[in-house]
Order: sequence, then structure tokens, then C-alpha cells
Amino acid sequence: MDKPQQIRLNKLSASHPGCSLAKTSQTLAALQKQVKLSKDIETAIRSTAKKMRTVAAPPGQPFLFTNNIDINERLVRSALIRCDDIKYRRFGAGKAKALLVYLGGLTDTNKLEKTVIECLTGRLESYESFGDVNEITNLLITAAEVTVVAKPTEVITNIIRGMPLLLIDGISDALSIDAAKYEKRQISKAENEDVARGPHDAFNETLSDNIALVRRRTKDPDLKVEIFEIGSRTQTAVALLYVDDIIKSGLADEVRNQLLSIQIDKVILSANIEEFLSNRVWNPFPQVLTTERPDKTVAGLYEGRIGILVDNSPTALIFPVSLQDFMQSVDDYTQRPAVVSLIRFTRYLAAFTAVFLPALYVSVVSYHPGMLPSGLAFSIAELRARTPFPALLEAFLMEGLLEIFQEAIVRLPQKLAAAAGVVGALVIGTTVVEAALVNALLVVVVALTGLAVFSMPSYTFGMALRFFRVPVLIAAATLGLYGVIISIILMIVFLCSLRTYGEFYLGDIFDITLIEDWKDGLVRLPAKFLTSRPKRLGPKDRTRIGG
Amino acid sequence: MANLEAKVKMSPWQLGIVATSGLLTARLLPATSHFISYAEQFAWLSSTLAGLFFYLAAYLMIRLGEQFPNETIGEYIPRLLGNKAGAAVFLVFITVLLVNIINCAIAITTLSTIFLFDRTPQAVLIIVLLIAVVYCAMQEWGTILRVIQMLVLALPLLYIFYSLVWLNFEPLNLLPLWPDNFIGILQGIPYHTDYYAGYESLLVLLPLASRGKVSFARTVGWGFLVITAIYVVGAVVLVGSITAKTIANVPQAVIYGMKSIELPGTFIERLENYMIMFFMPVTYISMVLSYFAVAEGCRKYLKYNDHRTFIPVFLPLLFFVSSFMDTPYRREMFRDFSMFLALFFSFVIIPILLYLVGRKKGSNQQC
Amino acid sequence: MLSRMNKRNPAHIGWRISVAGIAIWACMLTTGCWDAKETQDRNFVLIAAIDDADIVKKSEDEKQIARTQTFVQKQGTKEYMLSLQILKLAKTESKGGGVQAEKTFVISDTGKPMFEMVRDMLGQSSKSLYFEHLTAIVISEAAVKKKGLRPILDFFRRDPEMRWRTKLFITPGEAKAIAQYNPPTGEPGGTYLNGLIRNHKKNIHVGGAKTDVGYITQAIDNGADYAIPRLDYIDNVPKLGGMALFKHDTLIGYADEYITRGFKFLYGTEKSAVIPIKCPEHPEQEIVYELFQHDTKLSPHIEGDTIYFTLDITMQGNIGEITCTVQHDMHDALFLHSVEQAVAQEVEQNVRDCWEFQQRLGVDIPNAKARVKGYHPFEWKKIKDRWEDIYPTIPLAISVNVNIRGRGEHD
Repeated sequence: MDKPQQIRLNKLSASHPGCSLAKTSQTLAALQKQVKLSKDIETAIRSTAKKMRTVAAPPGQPFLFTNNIDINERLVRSALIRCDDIKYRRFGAGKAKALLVYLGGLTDTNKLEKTVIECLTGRLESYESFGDVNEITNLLITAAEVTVVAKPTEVITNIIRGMPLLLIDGISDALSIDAAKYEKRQISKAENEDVARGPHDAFNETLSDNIALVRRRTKDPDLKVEIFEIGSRTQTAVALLYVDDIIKSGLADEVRNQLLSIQIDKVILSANIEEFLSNRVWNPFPQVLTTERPDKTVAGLYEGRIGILVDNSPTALIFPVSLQDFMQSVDDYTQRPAVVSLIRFTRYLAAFTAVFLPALYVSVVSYHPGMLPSGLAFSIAELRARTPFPALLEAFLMEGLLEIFQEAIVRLPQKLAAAAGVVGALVIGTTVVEAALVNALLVVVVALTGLAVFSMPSYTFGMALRFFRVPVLIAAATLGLYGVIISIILMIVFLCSLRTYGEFYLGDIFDITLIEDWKDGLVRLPAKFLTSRPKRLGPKDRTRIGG
Repeated sequence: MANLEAKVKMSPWQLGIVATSGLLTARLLPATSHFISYAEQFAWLSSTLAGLFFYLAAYLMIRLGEQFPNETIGEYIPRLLGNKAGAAVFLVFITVLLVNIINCAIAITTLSTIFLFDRTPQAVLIIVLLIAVVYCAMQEWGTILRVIQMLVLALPLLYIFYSLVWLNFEPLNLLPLWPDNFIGILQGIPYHTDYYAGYESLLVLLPLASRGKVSFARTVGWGFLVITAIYVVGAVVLVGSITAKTIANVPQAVIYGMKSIELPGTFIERLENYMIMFFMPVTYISMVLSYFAVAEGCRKYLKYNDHRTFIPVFLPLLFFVSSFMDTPYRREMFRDFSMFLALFFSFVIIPILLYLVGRKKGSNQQC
Repeated sequence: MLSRMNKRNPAHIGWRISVAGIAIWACMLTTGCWDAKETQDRNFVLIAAIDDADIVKKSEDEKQIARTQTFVQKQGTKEYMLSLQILKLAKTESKGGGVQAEKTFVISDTGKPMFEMVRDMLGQSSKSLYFEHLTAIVISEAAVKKKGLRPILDFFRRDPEMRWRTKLFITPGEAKAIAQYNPPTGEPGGTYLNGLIRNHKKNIHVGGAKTDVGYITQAIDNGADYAIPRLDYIDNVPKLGGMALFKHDTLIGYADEYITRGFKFLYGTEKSAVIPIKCPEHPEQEIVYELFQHDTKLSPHIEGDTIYFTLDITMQGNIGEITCTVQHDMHDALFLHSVEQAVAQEVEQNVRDCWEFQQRLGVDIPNAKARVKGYHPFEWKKIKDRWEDIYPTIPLAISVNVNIRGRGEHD
């Protein structure tokens, strides 16, 4: 009989040495180390190459252009490595070689072909050569704007901006040609500020279009436009507009200094600039008027204000402004003065209601029901006998519901907009009352408050009013009518203490030394009477004709 | 941010409005029954004479201030009287203003505690009011001026609302027209201190106003005229509608005058609550004005840069004294004390100062 | 320390103050609001009815008042019974029609100080009693006869929660029954009584111009005499008519409708009144004159040693109703003139009767005293001590001028 086969458990690598896991992992680790090492070597090589490139360049610049076009091309390619939307076009210009570097999506290639390539290739014989760069710019290239750029950083930025680079063999100067063309939104209606009567064109996202819209409305050479680039990375163009002989002396310099001192990485929205223009950062009231309408911008400029237009943003910023400017709309100037004056009163009343109505309700119902007529007091008591909550909690509940509703409406998709009306009416209106959670009078109060906020001409201002509603409600719930009065007084003091560039936020309301400015504040007098600019803005030229 | 404001000082009319806003406060409510118990149905005559009397005091202060343009009382007092006496007089001045604030606080919170609330402790209302006053007094003068110009609108509204008392007017209550107790009328005049207190802050505010075409005395005079007219007509209608004897029995006569109104249809009730609502801003601006005058006076006297340093200093004192006056007896004592102090300052110290200035100016051109 | 403070940033100080303020607000929020009480958590008191506790006691068969309507009192006696009519809040939605639910209920207590009774009644009430909507105070004759009006009214005058335009009524019977009355109109009892007296401008038998708590207080302060409307409650029907006359806080007597009419003619407080006069040919039939404008002037005159009052009345009105069987010619100026004269005579007689009535009783409702003092202050000083003797002898010279403005729609 044979000896039985012994079964022994052992590792695979004992019988097949090639399958050793330990060895495999060792090899893998070595391989990874190799890869990492090669990556390090690549980075080291690149930085050395960069350093080699910078040897001859001035500080801050990546390289210096040479006479040799191949070297130049290599330098440019290395600066714009892995930017595949940059196109390089070689062509011959006479005897020498030429290179056009442009960004595919932002350049008008037709223009380039016509004004650069055709000119250089078509007009020159193959044996001609150039003397210097002026010959090219003055005689040969027919593009509207050609600049000789000295700094390579500017050249790179220009390429990205849509101004292609033209390099000629033998000439160490770089030429930037203006041939920018990009997709932009057409001039359309103002989304948030449409009016019943008045122009319907609004700013779009292109700075040059916006400036053009403003310029079209006034052929005044005193309207100055200064363009800055703000944002260390985004280099966004920001235009400062003002009318030189109207504005208060010193204001333009002050604003210019403020803009130039902004240290920010990126400017994407006009709101980024706006935050630097107000001095009280925690103040909920907007201190800068934003508008999408060019007519409002021009009107503001002609009152002695400054306008700021930011590239890629359809809103213009106008300041210094006061509270009354937030309560005006273009409709005020297109409708009859008598009607408009009454409507302005209504707006101020709505602003007051938006902040204080729930507080007044809570204070009267909880603290002073004696102030109501007897019949009303009895019916309110009967209404509230069914509901379990004290007045403050009820008010908070409805406030919360209203805020959620307002946020939902802003973000609702178009298709559901119709449904939102039904849902809102049902949920907030009827059902909450039928479920005996709140009483019907409070629903009316809260609905009025919500409507009052929406009736504000300026959306930001309406939001600021919403901010104050809750603290005032708490004050009313703690101390009744006394708390409401104290909060009214505190709000007035707060508003009086706000200033923009030295000018009061409340403007000329209730300041008797500025009594001649009251013509366009609370009421609007007909154009015959509006013969001077607002005194508080300190304009140099105070007279004007008409509104 | 640079201040590019064009103007720095207030115009004479603004000074007039500011001085006027300090006059009418809730302090007059407890004082009404007091002086009517002396003057009876000739309260209107008493008020007229008191208006002239206190305008005289304000006029003397304006004259004193005009001798030292661009200087507040804290600066020229040590020069006139020497260091020690000057410090004492300055202390009296500060005390008069602080006492005004305390009286206003006591008056308005007593009113609220009785009519608006039931169990809320008065100290809570006082501290809330004082904090609101401090918040405003901490702002710079331009802001305070703007607040005063806004809240002074509550004054005509208050008066128009008060005019509803005319619905109950009975001319019979005002008769006889020929006064037979002249002594009573004259006795009622010092009790008008509560009606007119607050003009002492002029001594600090004069340098903040620029001279214009109109003199300060005239603008302040117009203010006093308006306020006196309000008081006189108010006295006429109050005595006419609820009779002098009832007023003497009632602690807050104006409020009871409002209680006696019944509007046709009664769609609004408890009109006295609305009255208290209007009294609050009017009292508030007087308190802010006095507090600012205290801080500004101290700052100029001690040569500091910013008046805001002095505002928190006085707050605990004001709160504790106000809360201490919680019984009617203490309040009466305090009212009498403040009346004597204010009259002493306005009619004894200020004329002495004027006399000294006149003497010094006579003998020495440079002052 | 001041110099250290000087170096500190004002913003720092402001920050500290705001922190202190926030701390105080937080304390106030957490410790609770002292006076917040929801509207539905208050019991609205509409009518306060005051009776004489002894009479009520005697009317109960057991000769004892129920335990719930009294409390142990250390000192003093049980003099008054205070009943409060309180509004019942309907919890269910009213669906129209159906039985008129009772809107109010009444709780009572006996004692002497009103305030103590009110606080004891909180033992019968689940919510706190709220007097700011008190519309009527009904006082029984017996209660007033005990110690006068002032002790009853003091609580209602002194408390700051009370209104000064609360209406007062005097009733010869029991005041609690009036508080328990539920008007058929469905409104609460207090509103009903308020409405009754509001009609005083058209109802010449009701005097309501100066009879609420505020005016009575003024009269008491000035030491004058006053009148309060009389409310009768018989067979569960209330009726307002006539006045109760008070002299120095004591009830002297009642003026019936005729005398009340005289007072109203004297005062001129009504906006519209109806004066029936006898038909010239048929004395048992009547012509009614409807008055819509009425001016009076009561002035004192002193000549030498005599004082007399003159009353000038001017009336404008229409012919209201003619129940004569004879057809009168409306265009006849003589006839109209005779109507005017008849009306004037009627008015004059009424006023004279009224004047003599009050002189007999010794009350001075039109406040003749104040008029003499007002118009003739020097003479007043001489006679002021003897006024009580002089007053009943003062004659009144009346002149009435009546004009007919309209004759109605159909002759």
C-alpha cells in the first residue's frame, strides 16, 4: 500500500515562486516610485526651462521676445501650455515668416483674414522684407486697432481677451490686433424693471454695448468714461461714468481712488464692486442703486451722480443715492404729476406697513384691546377663541410661511408658476384658517405685509424692509405699543445715521435747509418747477431746464 | 470715506427748530394739575406770562452765547469765574440738563405704566428708553439734527390730535373772564418750568450754528411763540372741556381730557393711547438734545476729542435716579427740586454771568 | 479713568453698550412679558349693576344670599351687590338663523368696596375681568339712597382702565335684572343700553347729553347738581325715560317725561324732537310739530337787588303730523302762524313747569350757579353764601320763537 498523500496547506508562492504577493507588491511599489520620480523630474525640467526662459526677461515677465519667430513661438506656446483653444497660424509675409496667435472662440476670423493675412500675404511679393514694425502698422495692416505691445504678460492677456498676436520673423516687437468677436445677448427688455411707458431696452452683459446705450442718449462731450481693470485674476473691465461739470468736485477722484484700491481676486458680478462702495457693511439698506435701464442711468448722471458699469453684468451701479431714489420709478416721470404724487405717498405708506403692520397687530391684540372699537374687539376675541396660539407665535408662524412662500416663488420653474398661485392661496389663505391654526384677521395682515414689500420699486430695498420686520415684532410682543414706538424711533435714528460719501441716506427729507429739494421727494412737481438740480448733491452747475 | 458734505453748521432756523423741540415734553402732564390748582380757569393767562418769562431766560442765554462766538459754556466759564467757581457753575449746568432727562424719563414711563400697561415694572421701560436715547446721542451732531427735524413733526400731529378735545368745549367753564386771583396766576408761573425746560441746551448748541440773515433770538423766539400758542390754546380747551376743579383732582389732566372725547361712530377708542404714542417721540428728542448737550459740554470743558466718551458715563446715574423715583411723594420732591434748580440757574446765574461779561468787556476789550 | 476712556475707540464703547442692550433684551424675552394677555383670554365686562345688598337679601326666600355671591369680610358691612355682565365668546361659527344664543352671562357678589368685590369675583370667572369696554353702569335707587352716588362711583373714576364715557343709569327696581336681560336684537346687553341712550338726540323724553361718568365727575368736583337717566325694567322690557335728580350727591327725586322735556328745551341738546299741540278747533286732536333745529340761550341778569334769568329759545321745524279731522289749509299763513304760537306756548309752559319743579325740589340742573358766577363775578361774591335761599325765588323770563320751515310731502 502506498503512503497516503499528505495534504499540507501552504502559500501559493511556496510552490510557484513567480506568484508571490509580497514580491508583486514590492514591484508595484518600485513602479510607483518610478512614476513619481519621473513626474518630479518633469516638473523640475519645466521649472528649469522656465527659469532659463526668464534669464533674459525683465522682472515680472515670463520671457522676452527675440528676433527669431521659432523661438518666439516656442515661448508663447510654453506660456499657454494646455490651452487648446489657442490657434497658431503660420503664413508668409513677403520674405519673412509670420505667426498669428489667436483664441478661437473670441476672435473674428473673417476680420483677421481680411485685415491681416490677406494684407500681408497678398500685398507683398515673396522677396520683400520689412524695415521695422512701423512699416507694418502704418502701411500694410488695415485692421482698425493695432498696438505694439512691449510686455509679454500683456500680450498673453490680450490673446485671451480676443486680441490676436502677430509676430514677424526678424522683428522683436509684438503686435496686438483688435479683432474681438464673441457671442452676446441681444439688447432686450429689462427683466425686473419693465415700465408701462418708457423705453424698453436694457443693458446686456457687454460693456461696450452698455456704454454705447448710454452714449446714445446724450451727446454731451462732458460725459466722461474711464475704464479700469479690476480683479487681479479676472481683469474685468469696469467703467466709471460721470458728467464732469455737474458732479461735486472731489467725488470723482474719491471714487476713482476707491476703485483702484480694491484688492480682489475676481470680479464676476457687479455686486462684488458694490460691496466696496458702501462704508457700513452690516447695514441692510442698499446704498447703491442698481438698475438695468440706461434711461435711469442717464437721469442719475445728470443729477450729479456717478455710474459704474461692470463687464459681464447687466446692472449699472448709481451712487450716491438716498432713500427717495429707491422709492422712485421711471413711471413717476412718465405719468401725470398729480397722480404720481399720490402714488408716492402710497409707496411710503406701503414701506411703513411692510415693517410695522404685524407688530401693530400683535401689540393691539395682546396688550391694548381697549383701543379697538367694542364691536371689533368682540369679533376679534371670538375669532381668536378658536385658535390655540398666542398672538406672537401666530405671527411668527405666518411670517415663516410667508418667507418660505416668497423664496419658493423666486425659484419656481415656469411651468409651475400657475400652480403656485393656487397652492399659495389654498395653503396660506383658506386652509390654515380652517384648520384653526391662525385667525383670518392675521392672514389679512400678513398678506397685506407681503404685498407691501412687493410694491417697492427696488427689490433690494424691499428685502431690507423684510429684515426689520422680525425685530420689530419681537419688540411689540415684549412691550406692546411702547415697544413699537421705540422701534420706530430707533429705525429713524438708524436711517439718519447712514451716509454715503458724506451725503445723508435720507437725502433731503425733513431737512429744512434743503427745502428747495422737496419738489421731487415726497411729491413730484410738474417739470416747470423742477428747475434746479438737488442741492444736496452739491453739483457745480445747479440750473437745469425741465425735469 | 471722505466726508464731502458741503455744509458743516446749522442754519439759524434749524437752531430755532432744535430749541423748540426741546421744550414740549411729557413733563407737562403731571405739572398741569399743579398749576391749574393755582390759576384755575385763567390757566391760559398763566401760560402766556410763563411763555414770556421763559423766553426771557432763553434770550439771556443767547445773549451770553453771542458774547463768546464759537465757544460753549464749558469754555468761557472758567475764564469768567475762575477755576473753582467755574467748575461749580458748570456742574450746576450739567445737573440741570441731567435732571431734565430724568424728569422726562420718569414722566413718560409713569404715563406708560399707568395707561398702557398693568404690571410691567417701570424700570424696564426706563432702561429701554435710556438705551434708545444713548443710541441716538452717540451719533454725530449732523445725524442728531436730522433726527430732531424728523421727529419734531410729531409735535403738530400731537396738537392736531389734541384738538379733538374741542368737541367737548363749553365756554361756560372758562368764565368769569376777568381774573380775580392775580396772585394765583403768578403763582402758577414757576410751575411752568416743566412746560418749558430744555432750552438750557442752547448754551452748548450756539457754536454749532452759523450766523445767517436772521438772528438766533428771532428764530428761537418764533419757536417759543409757537409752543406758547400751543399751550395757551391747549389750556383754554382743556379747562373748557373738563373744568378747572376736575383738573386739579386728576393727576394727568391732558390724558383725562383725551379720555373724555367720544368720537361720533366710535371707530377709535382709547384716544389717550394715541396721545401717549405722540408724546414719546417729542419727549425723546428733548432727552437726546439734553444728553448731547451734556456730553458736548463736558467734552469742551475737559478738552476731549469726541463727545461719545461721556455718554456711557452718565447712563447708570440716570437709570438709578429715575428708578428711585417710584412713589408719588418722591416724584413731587424731585419735581420741586428740579424746578428750583432750573429757575435758579436761568434767573440767577445767567444774569450774574451776563453782568460779569458786561463788566469785563467794559474794562477790558479782550475777553 | 477718563483719560483711558478718551483713548478708547468710540466704536468700542458703542459695542459695549450694544452688548449690554442685547443682554437686557434677552433677559426681558426670557423672563416674560408682564402684560401680554390675549384678547380671548380676557372677560369683557359690559355692564356693572349695583344693588342694595339688603333688599336683594330680603327678596330671596331663604333670607340668605347664596354662598357664591358673598365672601367673608373682616370689617364693614355688606352694603352693595355688584353684578357684572360678561360677554360670552361664541366658539362655533354662526351659521345664520337658528335660536339666538345668549351672548352674555352675569356674575354677582356682595360687599362694600367695589374693588374688593371685583377681585373676589375672579373666583367665579375663568379669565381676568377686563373693564376697558364697560359700556353701562346701572345703579338701583335703593343703592343710591344708602350713602349717595360718590362711594359707588369712586372705583369707576379712579381706576385708569375705566372709560370716562361709560353711561350711567338709575333704576327704581333691581339693577341685576337689567344686567341679566338679553335683548332680542342679539347684541350684548351693554351695547343695547349704549344704543338706547344714544337716541337721546331724537328722543325728547331721555336726557343723555351730559350724563356719563365723566360729566358726573365734573359736576361732583364743581359741587354742582346733576341728573342721570332713569331706566325702568318691567315685565322683562327695559324702557328709558325721565331722569333722576341729584343734589350734592343725594337722590332728590325723579323728573318724569314731561319735566325732562322741559329740561331739554332749556338746554337745546336734542337734534330733533316732536311737540304735539292741540288742534285749534278740536282740542282732543293733535297737530305735531317736528323740531330739527333748536338754539337756546340762558343768561343771568342782575339789576340792583334782583336776579333773574332770561331764556331765549329759537326753534325751526316742520309740521310732522296732523291728526285733525278737519282739513286745514296749509297755505294759510294765519293758520301756520297760529300753529307756531301754539307750539311756542306749549314750550313756554313746559319750561316754566320744569323750572318751578326743580326750584321746589331745590336742585339746580342747568347750573344757574355757575352762570351767575361766570357772568357776574363781583355780585356773585356777595350772594354766594345765601345762594341756597335765593335760588328758589329766581324767576325765569322765557321767550320762544318758533318757525315752521316745511309742511311735509302731502298736505
